[in-house]
Amino acid sequence: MAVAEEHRIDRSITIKAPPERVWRALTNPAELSTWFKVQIEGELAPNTEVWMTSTHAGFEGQRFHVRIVEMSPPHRLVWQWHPGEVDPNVDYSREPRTTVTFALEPVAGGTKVNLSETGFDAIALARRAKVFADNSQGWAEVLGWLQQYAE
Amino acid sequence: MPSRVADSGPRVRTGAKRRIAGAAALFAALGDPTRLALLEHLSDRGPASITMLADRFTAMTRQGVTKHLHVLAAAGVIDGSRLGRERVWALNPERIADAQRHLEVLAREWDDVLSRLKAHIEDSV
Repeated sequence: MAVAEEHRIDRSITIKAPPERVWRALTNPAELSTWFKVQIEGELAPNTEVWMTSTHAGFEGQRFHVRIVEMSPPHRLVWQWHPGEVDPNVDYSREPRTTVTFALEPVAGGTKVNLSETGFDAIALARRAKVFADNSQGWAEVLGWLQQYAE
Repeated sequence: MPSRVADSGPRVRTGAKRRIAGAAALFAALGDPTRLALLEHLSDRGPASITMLADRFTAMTRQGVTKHLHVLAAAGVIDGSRLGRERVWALNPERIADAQRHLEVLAREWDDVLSRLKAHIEDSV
C-alpha cells in the first residue's frame, strides 16, 4: 500500500471541440456559471479574485473566494480556492488554499482537458470532507458515481 | 444548508464533528515528509521499534523519531504493542485508506464537473 503519495487529484476528459471553444466555456462567466453551477461575482482575469456562490443541488448558497492565478488562452487556467461552507467568523485570507489547474491539450478530434488539484493539507481536506459529511444528498450522489464506475 | 443540518438532528452533527476532527488529525499526521518516510518504512519492512527506526534514519535523533511516532499514533495511523522490552510500531492500514478515500470522494466530484463541462460544450451546437 502506497502511503507516501502526494495529496493531489488528477482527472481528464476529452471534448469534441477546439481549445478556443473549451477556453470560452472555462472563462466566460455566463458559460462557467452554467456548467460549474455557480453564480459568479466579477470577471475572470489574471491576479483578480471573484466570489462564487454554489447553485449545485445540496450546496446552494455556499459562497467562496477564488483567486485567479493564471490565464494563458487557450492553454492554462489556474485558480486557488478553499471551497465549502464559508463561516463569517473565520478570516479566510489566512486559510490554506488548493490550486486548481485546467490544462487544455489539442488532440485528434478535439481538446483534452487535464484537471489537477494540488496543495491539499490537513485543514483543506478536513473542511472539504465536511461538505460531504454534513450533506446526505452529497453522499447519495457520490455513491451514485461510485456505482457508475463499478459497473 | 443550515436548515438541512438542523433536519439531520443533533446525533448526526456530533458524528460529523468527530469525523472532521479525526480527518484533520489524520492529514496533519500525513502532511510531513519525515513522517511519511517513517510510514513508508513501516509499510515496506513491517513493524519496527524506535531503536530500529533511529538506526535506519540516521539523520534523525531518537527523540525526533519518538516525537514523530507519537503524532502518527495520536492520529491512529500506527499502533504500538509491547514486544519484550520495547514497543513495536505497526501501520494501521485502515486509517491510511481513510485519507485516500477522502481524496477519491473529491476526485469523483471533479469527474462530475468535467462531465458537465463536456455536455455543456458538445450539446450546444
